[in-house]
Amino acid sequence: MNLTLLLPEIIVIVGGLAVMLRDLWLPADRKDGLWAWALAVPLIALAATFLPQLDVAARISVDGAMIVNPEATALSGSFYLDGMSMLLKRAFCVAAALVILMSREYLSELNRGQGEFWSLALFALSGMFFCASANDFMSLFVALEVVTVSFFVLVAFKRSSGTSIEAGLKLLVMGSLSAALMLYGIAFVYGASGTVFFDQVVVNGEVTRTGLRDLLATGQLVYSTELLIGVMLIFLGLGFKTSAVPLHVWVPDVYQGAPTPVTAYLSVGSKLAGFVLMLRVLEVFSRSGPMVDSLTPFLALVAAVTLFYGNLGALPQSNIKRLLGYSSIGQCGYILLGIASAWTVGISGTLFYMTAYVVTNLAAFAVVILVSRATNSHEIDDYSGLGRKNPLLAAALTVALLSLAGVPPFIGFFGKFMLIGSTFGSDELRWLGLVGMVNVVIALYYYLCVIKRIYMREERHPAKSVVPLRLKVVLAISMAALVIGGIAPQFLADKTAEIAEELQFAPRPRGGEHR
Amino acid sequence: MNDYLPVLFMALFGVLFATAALGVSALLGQRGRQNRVKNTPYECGMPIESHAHARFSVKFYIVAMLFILFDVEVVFMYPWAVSFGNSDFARDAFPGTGLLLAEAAAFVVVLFLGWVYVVKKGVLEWHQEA
Amino acid sequence: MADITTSHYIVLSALIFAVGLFGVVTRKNTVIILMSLELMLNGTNLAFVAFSRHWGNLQGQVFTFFVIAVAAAEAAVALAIIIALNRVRKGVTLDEATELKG
Repeated sequence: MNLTLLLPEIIVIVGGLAVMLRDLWLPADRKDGLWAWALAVPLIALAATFLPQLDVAARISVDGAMIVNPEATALSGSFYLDGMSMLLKRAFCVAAALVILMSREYLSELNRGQGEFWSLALFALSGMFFCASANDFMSLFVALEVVTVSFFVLVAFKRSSGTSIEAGLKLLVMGSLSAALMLYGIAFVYGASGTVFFDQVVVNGEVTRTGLRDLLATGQLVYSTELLIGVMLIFLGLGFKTSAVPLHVWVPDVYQGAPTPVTAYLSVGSKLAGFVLMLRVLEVFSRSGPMVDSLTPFLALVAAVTLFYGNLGALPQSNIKRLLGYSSIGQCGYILLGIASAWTVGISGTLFYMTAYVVTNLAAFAVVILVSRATNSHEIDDYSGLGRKNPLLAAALTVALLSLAGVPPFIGFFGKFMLIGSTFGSDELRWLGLVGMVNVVIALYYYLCVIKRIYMREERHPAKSVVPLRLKVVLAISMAALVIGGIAPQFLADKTAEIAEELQFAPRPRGGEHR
Repeated sequence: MNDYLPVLFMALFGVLFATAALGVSALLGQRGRQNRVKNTPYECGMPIESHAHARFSVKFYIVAMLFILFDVEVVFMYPWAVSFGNSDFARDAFPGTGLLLAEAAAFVVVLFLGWVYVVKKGVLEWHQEA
Repeated sequence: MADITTSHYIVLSALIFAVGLFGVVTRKNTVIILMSLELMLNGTNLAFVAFSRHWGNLQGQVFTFFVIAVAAAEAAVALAIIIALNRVRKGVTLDEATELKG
């Protein structure tokens, strides 16, 4: 057991508790300074992820077979640190830091509850960290619920506003329902296999515990209907977090009703936590050929329906937060394309797109926060003439939307290219790639509608947005990432390809037949 | 079916006992002595102050929620205590480390900080207006 | 007749789960929805414990502890949100939560 591996988690949890306690003894007029404390925590955690002690080989070769390196696990094997968890933890740190920078202005409107907001945001971050490192179903469930329950409170944070409470209630009912479904699926998997661990733990060269991965690889765990039902229920439950059909109905309502910084956090943090767990679970079950054969059409169907639902639903929207909600369902569909075609290129594209999505979506939401502070509205019509009033803000929103739409030379283009390209690797998924391309066109239409309003229409609100320094920093960082990542994607793409190799998805030949 | 026989007997016995007890008191008890005091919920004790469906303070809910949270956390103490006492098990579960005590201590410290938060927020001060 | 096997427990847990799911889908009162959600989780707990006995390992029982703890946290937050909803909209049914749509 290696507690150093847990250092980023420990920093975030201690930081969250420290902010909570600091708030208790701080006089009311000095609470505004608390954001700096909160901001320090993800930054320190981000620095901690670069420590050499955390750079442990995730897999080692024993008798010619690649197995999980015991040195890279902690908490008796429940916690696993590999390239994927490291990449996602860094992405979560960046997301949390940017969201904290965005939230400060919103919080000054609240007369109380600042300390709780910051500490809940940090506790959610710790949950996301554990999601990225979960190596058994227990830590998967508990980590996911830490994220979900923190978000219940954050979404309903504005207690005086009916819409915020309503959004919280809707998230709560759907979230608890999906958690129960997922849990029932886990019970089935446990019933079929007799273990909740993903892999074996080797201590002193001896196998002390058998996990799902070995059971599947050695053929001791045979493919059965109950196992398949269990895995499907788990994917449904995780699909709630990632806003995949059919548990997606909360997304537009909650995105609209929640405080905007919370919406931004929800749209990247909670979503990525769901995706990383999907990848983890899929990797385990990709050991079994029949399981892959049954799961691939299921995931492909979910991806196709999610794409159409999100992109067609976004067309008639007049509220920018609702539009971004539907767009986030659509984006989930693209990432599912890569997950459905679970071979190395698809997984690499998935990880690339997940990382790119953080900066892109947060940039869009930062502009939404600024514009709504000036116009006091989230209607898309009120973005008319933004290009003349605030040229820089308008440019930032345009770049973010174009990147979401997948227009070169921004980072989103390369991600979409990898994801759609991955589906053409096998014959059975080629139709899914066509669905993805059709949806790129649909999505481009509604993003361009917003951009047209920004530049082509007369302004309705004369009020100019004042951009505070903190949000300038957010926009500068995300714009730089969007453009640099778009022009030179190779740095990130190499990294994600390396991680995808390490993940050991069972290779799928191009003909579409499994081994 | 043999497995279910005890359950059946249990149910039958329950029904019989209830009928018998009610029947005996109906046969032997003094009927006719009925008045308002007799029909109140507590014949000897406090007089009734108000209807049972009255609204009561939201503070009860908050205290109840806190109770549930802290009560349920203790559920983790029990398996911990069992495995801590059983040193063989402890050695198997956490090979090569003596971290069992430290882990429980971390858990209790986090709970304690939660309690500090509750007290400092004044939730347990009953007479203060929220 | 035969002993009570794991299947019996699983059928019972499925029934409890289904009753809870039915309640969540059909009821409008948020407090009853919350109770139904708890019922679903308890059905799952029964399945975990039954499978735990079936396999002779303790993982399922430990899982149950975590489910109970998470359910308590969820219930606490849910009650707080329902009380807040009652303050803003003067009611606790889902009819009070229909402003956001489209």
